[in-house]
This record gives sequence, structure tokens and C-alpha cells, in this order.
Amino acid sequence: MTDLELLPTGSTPRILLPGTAADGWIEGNCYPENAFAFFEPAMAWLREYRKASGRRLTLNVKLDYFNTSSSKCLLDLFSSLQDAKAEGGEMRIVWHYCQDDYDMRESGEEFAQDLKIPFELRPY
Amino acid sequence: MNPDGASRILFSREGEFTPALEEALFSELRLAVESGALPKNAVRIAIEMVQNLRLHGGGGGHFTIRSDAASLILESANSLPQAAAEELVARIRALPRGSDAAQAARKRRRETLPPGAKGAGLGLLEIAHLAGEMEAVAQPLSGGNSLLVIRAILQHTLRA
Repeated sequence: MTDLELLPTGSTPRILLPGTAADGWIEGNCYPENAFAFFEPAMAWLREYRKASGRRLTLNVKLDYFNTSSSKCLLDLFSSLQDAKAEGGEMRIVWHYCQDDYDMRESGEEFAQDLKIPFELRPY
Repeated sequence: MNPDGASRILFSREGEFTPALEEALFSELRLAVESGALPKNAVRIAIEMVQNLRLHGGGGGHFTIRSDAASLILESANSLPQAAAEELVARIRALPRGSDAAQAARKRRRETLPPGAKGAGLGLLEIAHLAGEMEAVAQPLSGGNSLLVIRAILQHTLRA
């Protein structure tokens, strides 16, 4: 399983999904021109990852801003991780938010409520 | 504010909205939020409006932010076939508002999208959630088109 790394731009986050057991990251701003196309490589990576053995992934999400299309894609991505956990993997999500950013905390809380996967809210 | 209470244009752009322009607008608005000149919700509404113009308005249109004594007004306008514009106006007027819109968006986020969907259909709900008021009108143009005008109004006292 190879790493997936997408470098950040002004409107898209850095995405790192590691092939070996390590932390994954999504960080930056997220309002891509086409959110579904932008997230497709990450979705494809996860589809392959779910076929591998010994899966263990902590996905750290640290976003400054994301638009509504991206919120849909993030939920789809998290749901795929949830499926991987149901299939026997060790999956968890850490949602980092600036302690002054009420909206980002609330978004994390909503994701946590909508998912059945360990989901930690971590202020910074 | 102007002493006479007239509105002041803070941002106005007519034409094509490219991703590069969107990034520049985002950066400018974030700076305005950091300096306290704009409420944070204005950035979220602006991005959704501009992305709607790009995705559904044939890439272009008119986007304005203006301020008057009582409120901050964000407005998008683009030309559409009359029937499509009127259908959108009816849809926007029927949208839930405030926290009901937020709940509707959360529910829609969980739905599976049809293949090839351009968006999640969440942008208008986000605007309805964040804006104190949201208006939509279709103004007839020549050639069977209408100008769809969507307006989000944030009261200055409702600064996020």
C-alpha cells in the first residue's frame, strides 16, 4: 500500500494518507473547485486500503475552513473509515479545532454524532 | 456607515468567477474578518454564493457585498432561462431558515448523491442557515431569460 499525498493550495488542504501504520492528515482550507473530484483520490485510496490487512489509521483533520460540498465529502470519507473499522481495522478520527472557533467545534460534534467510530475533538 | 444611511459597496465583481478569483476573494474576506470589519458568516455565505455562480450560473454573474446602517447585504445575480430562475426562486422561498436549515443540511449531507452531481445541494441551505434574512427574485430579461437575484442579509447586531 503506497502513501497518498496531495499538496495544499489556497483552496484545498494537504492530504496525507499513509500506507504504513501512521497518522493521516487533512489540513488547511477546503473549498475546492469541485469537491467530489478533489476527494476522489482519497476515496479511491481508502477503497484499496480496506482490502489490505493489519489496517490501523488515525486520521487527523485540522481545517481552517471548509465549504458545504466538502462537508459532504468529509462525511463520505469518514463513513468509509467507519466501514473499515467495522471490517476489523483500528480506525479513529481526531478533529482539531481552534479553541476560539465555535463553528469548527460544532462541525466536529455533528460529525461525531453522525458516525460510529472513535472521534476525538481536540482544541488547540 | 455613511451619515445619510445610504449603502456602501464593500466588494463588487461582475464577470467570470474563476477558482483563482475565488481564492483572492476568500483571502480578502478573511482579512476583513480578522480586522473585525466583517462577520465570519459573511465569508461562508460569500463562498457559497460565488461557487453557485460558477457551478450553476454558467461561470459568471454579479456578486456584491454592501453595507448600510442596519445590515450587511451579500447579493449574487446571474442570468438563467426564465423557468429555471422561477423554479429556483420558489425553491429558495420554501427553504427552512435558521436552525431548521442547519438540520435539513445535516440530513441532506447523509444522502447519497446521484452520479455526476455538480454539488451536494447544501449551499443554499447554508445561506438560509446563516443569513438573518434570505430573499430571491427573478427579474425578466429579454430573450426568455431572467436575472436571478439572491440576497442574504446579516443584521450588524447579529455579527458572528
